[in-house]
Amino acid sequence: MSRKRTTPITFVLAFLMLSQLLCQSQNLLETKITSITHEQSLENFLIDFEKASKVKFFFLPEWIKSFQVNPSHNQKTLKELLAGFFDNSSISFSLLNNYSLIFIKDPGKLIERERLLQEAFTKKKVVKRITIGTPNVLKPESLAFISGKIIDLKNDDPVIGATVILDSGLKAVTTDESGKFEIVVPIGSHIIRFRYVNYEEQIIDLDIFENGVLNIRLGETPFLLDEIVISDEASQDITSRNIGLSSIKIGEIKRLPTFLGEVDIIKQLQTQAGVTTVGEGASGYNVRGGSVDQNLILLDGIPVFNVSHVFGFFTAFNAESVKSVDFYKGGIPAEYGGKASSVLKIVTKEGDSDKWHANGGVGILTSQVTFGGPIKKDVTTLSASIRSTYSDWVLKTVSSNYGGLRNSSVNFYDGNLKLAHKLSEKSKLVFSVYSSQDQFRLTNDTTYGWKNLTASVRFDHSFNGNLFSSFQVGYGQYGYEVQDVDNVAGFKLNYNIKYPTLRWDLNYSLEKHKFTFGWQATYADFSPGSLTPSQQSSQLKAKSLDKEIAIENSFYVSDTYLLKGKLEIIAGLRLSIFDRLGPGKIYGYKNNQPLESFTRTDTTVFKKGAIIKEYYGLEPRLSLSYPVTENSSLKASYNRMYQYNHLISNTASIAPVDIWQLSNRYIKPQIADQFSVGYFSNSKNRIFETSIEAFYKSVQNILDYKDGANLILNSGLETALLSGISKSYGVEASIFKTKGRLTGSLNYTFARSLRQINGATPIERINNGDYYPSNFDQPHVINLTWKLSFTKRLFFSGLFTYHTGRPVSIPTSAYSAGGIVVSDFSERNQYRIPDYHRLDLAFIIEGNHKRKKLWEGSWVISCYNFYGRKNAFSVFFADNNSGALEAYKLSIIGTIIPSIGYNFKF
Amino acid sequence: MVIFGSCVEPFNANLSIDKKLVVDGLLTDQPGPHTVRLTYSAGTGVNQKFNAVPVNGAKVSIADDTGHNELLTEISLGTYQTINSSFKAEIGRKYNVHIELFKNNSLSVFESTQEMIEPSGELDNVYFEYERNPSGNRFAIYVDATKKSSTNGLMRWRWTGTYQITTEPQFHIEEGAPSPLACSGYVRGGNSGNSITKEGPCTCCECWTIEKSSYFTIYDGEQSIGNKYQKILLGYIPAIGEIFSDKYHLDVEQLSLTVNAYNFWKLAKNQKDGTGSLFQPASAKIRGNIRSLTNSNEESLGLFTVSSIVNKSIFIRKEDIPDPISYNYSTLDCRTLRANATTIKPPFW
Repeated sequence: MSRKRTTPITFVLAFLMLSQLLCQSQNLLETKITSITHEQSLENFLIDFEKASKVKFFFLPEWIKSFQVNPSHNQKTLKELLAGFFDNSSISFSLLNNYSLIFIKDPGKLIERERLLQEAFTKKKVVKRITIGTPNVLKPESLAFISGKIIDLKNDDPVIGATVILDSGLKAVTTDESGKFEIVVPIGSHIIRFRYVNYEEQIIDLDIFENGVLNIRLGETPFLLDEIVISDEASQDITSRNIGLSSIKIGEIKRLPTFLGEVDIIKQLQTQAGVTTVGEGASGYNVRGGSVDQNLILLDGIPVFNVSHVFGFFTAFNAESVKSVDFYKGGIPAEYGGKASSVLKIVTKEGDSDKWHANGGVGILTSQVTFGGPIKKDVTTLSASIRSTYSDWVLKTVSSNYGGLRNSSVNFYDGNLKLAHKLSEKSKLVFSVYSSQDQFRLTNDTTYGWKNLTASVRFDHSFNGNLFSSFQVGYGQYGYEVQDVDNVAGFKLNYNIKYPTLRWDLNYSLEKHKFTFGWQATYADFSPGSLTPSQQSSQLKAKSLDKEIAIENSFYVSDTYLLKGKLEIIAGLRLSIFDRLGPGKIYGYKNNQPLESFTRTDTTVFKKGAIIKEYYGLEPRLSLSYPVTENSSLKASYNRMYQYNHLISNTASIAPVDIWQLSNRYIKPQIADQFSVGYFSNSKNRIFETSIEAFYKSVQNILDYKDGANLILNSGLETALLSGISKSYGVEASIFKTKGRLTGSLNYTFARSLRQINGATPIERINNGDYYPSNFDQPHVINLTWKLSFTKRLFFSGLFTYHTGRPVSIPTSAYSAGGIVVSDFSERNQYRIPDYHRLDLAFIIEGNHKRKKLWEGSWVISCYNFYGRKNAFSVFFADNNSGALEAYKLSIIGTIIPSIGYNFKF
Repeated sequence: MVIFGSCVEPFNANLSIDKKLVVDGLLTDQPGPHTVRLTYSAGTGVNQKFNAVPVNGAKVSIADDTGHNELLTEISLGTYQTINSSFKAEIGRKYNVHIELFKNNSLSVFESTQEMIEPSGELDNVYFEYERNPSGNRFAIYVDATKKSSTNGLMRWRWTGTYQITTEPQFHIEEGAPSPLACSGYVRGGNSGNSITKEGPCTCCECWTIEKSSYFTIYDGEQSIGNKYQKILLGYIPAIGEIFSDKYHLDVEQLSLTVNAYNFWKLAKNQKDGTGSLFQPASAKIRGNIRSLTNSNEESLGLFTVSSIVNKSIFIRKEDIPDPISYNYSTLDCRTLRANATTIKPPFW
């Protein structure tokens, strides 16, 4: 970079200040230009001009190399000429002492550019220099249009939702479903960064002189590269995407403490603000005061019903097989629906199209192996992973004093397989299968087992530059079995759900608009329970409930629109239609009386295919993002969600016998409305990222069980349920430190989750129809995670979590009636178990970080529950030998749990 | 080594227990007396016997929907009974209880909701099935019943069992030597010191004892076709020598229930059945049908209800047990073996 006039930037800056003060003579600027004889560069013109007069110009040639002058500019004053070029650009000029004309390029921008480059160099990130167009052919236009596509380095898949950041982040766009993006930039020099979670950032030092195309190949972050801990939205660029979305960095999860050495996606989710759990051994998670059934979990596009192993101790996905995890707790886009509270979108890995890789892990409880590679290079790839317990010896060592637990046994596995085949440059076929299974014997007699299966075939096609289509045929299955081998009362309880799905998702880009639209259909085939004797000698009477059939169709359209370059709007609408189909029977009940088996009047029988009940609803979605300053933005969202299947459970504690109930005449769809607003801000040097968000969510037609209701094998389940409303609200504050030896996050949430069941008669009310806390109402939640790097290969990480104990109902006194002792319970959920808090620590020792080596290994030494707190999981009641009930609290984990694991990759 | 260290501890929620009035009353269509018991609820503790605190000195009356008022008399602490022997519930009438008492020197008035007595339907059949079971062979007791059309069909069953206890007090031994009890009719003596001689009838060799069903069964007609309730399980009787020295008399009562009573007993049963299991259904507050007229915030517990009753009796005989049973005869006075044992032979025996 040679400089024609040696004018240090600082010099320019000094004069910038002075020029405001000095009285400016207009003589020089008012000089009429007459000397242009042919088209030439502005730079050459100025040099000639300088020679011909006493004036001195101070500028960097690269600032103005895009401008040309020609004879049509004659008769203009110098001021008019320059203004014509520089108005609306970042360059301004001022006259000093009537003989020095100083060109000033927005100094802030320049310094920022230098800083970005410097930062990239110190982080040893690769910066590529790219020039689009040549200075010679330049027209005096001030803007250029860049379009391009981001694809995966390994398998040429489009990278969806990657962020393209211009300069310091003043402007950013994300790639659409076909990996495409468009961005308009002023002509000149820019730093453009391409980012995506779990991928290595790519930095382009761009000189652009005309419209052009930038195709980028992003590579996955090499195993165990320095990264931020867990990426809530705030820790991503504040300019990117919509409120309430977070992406989880798979690589980083491996550096956090684990329970028995198992890397766990959902456990990590629970360290984010707004996501809670009721404790160890609780299946599922609660999002912003929603119940566990209100979370949509999509694995390669297919919903999964039960994501836990061993009653929630482990998540039934192998983190090694997962490519990306997107999580929405608010501002849910129109393409997702069917659940009221949140969306967890998990996409599994595709095999490398170039060469074969494998990695594995050896833990105390399980081992896993993942491998993938090309079956036919650059055309067909395979990726597969399997994880399994060795044996059930761990549970044999349980030192619990709770009967039967020591005689327990546990077995589980999960595995998935993905096959991708490129049909042409524009089409691709992807086949994906996932399966998980659990066997758990709690006592010597009773065995609980459950399993998930999903399979799908997806056809992706890019029609032309703007239209991308993805068509998927899928099948899902979830079921459980409880078996008791008692000679007299031995039974087998089976429950099964099958749900074939079809979905067609399309997106279409049009200048400033990005449309997504599509159709999704799910056929639900529920076998809600059959009880059969398990032994020949069993006296048990077989019983089975009729199948339940329903079809849910959804149509959606959504538009992402950037208004005046600042306000981003994502507006969408979804129409969901639910049809409960025959064969089936629906009971009639006496008018104005509670639904009870003894108020039944008649039974209506529906033939196969007949519509028993139809519900439909419009679900508007809106998400706004407004950059307040370069480093902060204000976001707001609203979404309405319909949910047509409901988890019915009345146990005070864990239960592998949960019932999913489809909506029918009496069980209406849950309708959730959520508003959220947030302010996201980064410190200047981006070391700290902070956010504060507030939300309000209300859900209509939530279900709670009637006191003492029997749910299992109940053919008229409506008699056991009550319907009401829930409301939850809260404020979530997070701070992330994303740079330096010490990184981490701290968040605090204040939130309430309340319900109201206020039916027509007293028996249809809970707590006399007043609002009461839900089972998972935990007002105060604090999460702290950190990672301290001692060296590049040795880390100390930790997690501290605290939440208010969850509400319970307990017996407060006793009395005698009808010859038996009856316990008098408190109103529902009026007491709380003790507060939950826990500290986990981990040391991670990694092998060297050379990119080319054949074998990478790392050790993870974890201590779960470091100070051995006996956190209560639940309260249950037992006869205290007085005939009355006494409350006991059950702590599932009452001590420190150390573990060690080894991971390898080649 | 991995240790979960899971554990169970009493959960102390620092409760403050306020005494609540508990009403336990039943009026039937059978001859009286009919009883209403008043107690206060009490805190409980582990291994601490639950003792209800009786409420004495209250004014208790039962009113019907015709305006008739029947005053009850306190016959023992906290137990109030009808005196007029002709007073009983009439099918289709509504009744409620009215209670006045002084609590902390101020008058408190409580009342139950009006409960309508429904006919009990038919008790068609009481029968049993023998079951072999590793924890002891037993008889399962079933009933078939028919509900009356146009009633709610809610029912409760309870039963009373009567069986004979046979002992051999003449073979009583003390300090290694025969020592027949006086009531056995035998005396020690005769030629050799170790022989016994009969001198009169035995007055403590045959007793009869009654046992109430330790549990009750309620049914709401669910899963029944039409008005017929079939094979409702009431409970089990162990097929052992101690009980089947002769035969077993089973008297089953079928009570009609009001909706309030059904809901109360359903939750009470749920509390009893569900406890102690990790997967227990959530127990819940049981709301009775008593409310305070003087202080709407004052919570009261329990139930005043009305039932019509039909009953049926059967015998289960020793011969109904297909397996051999053994019995070691006791040498004690049969009246001392069970708390309510009596030597008076029941009329139906």
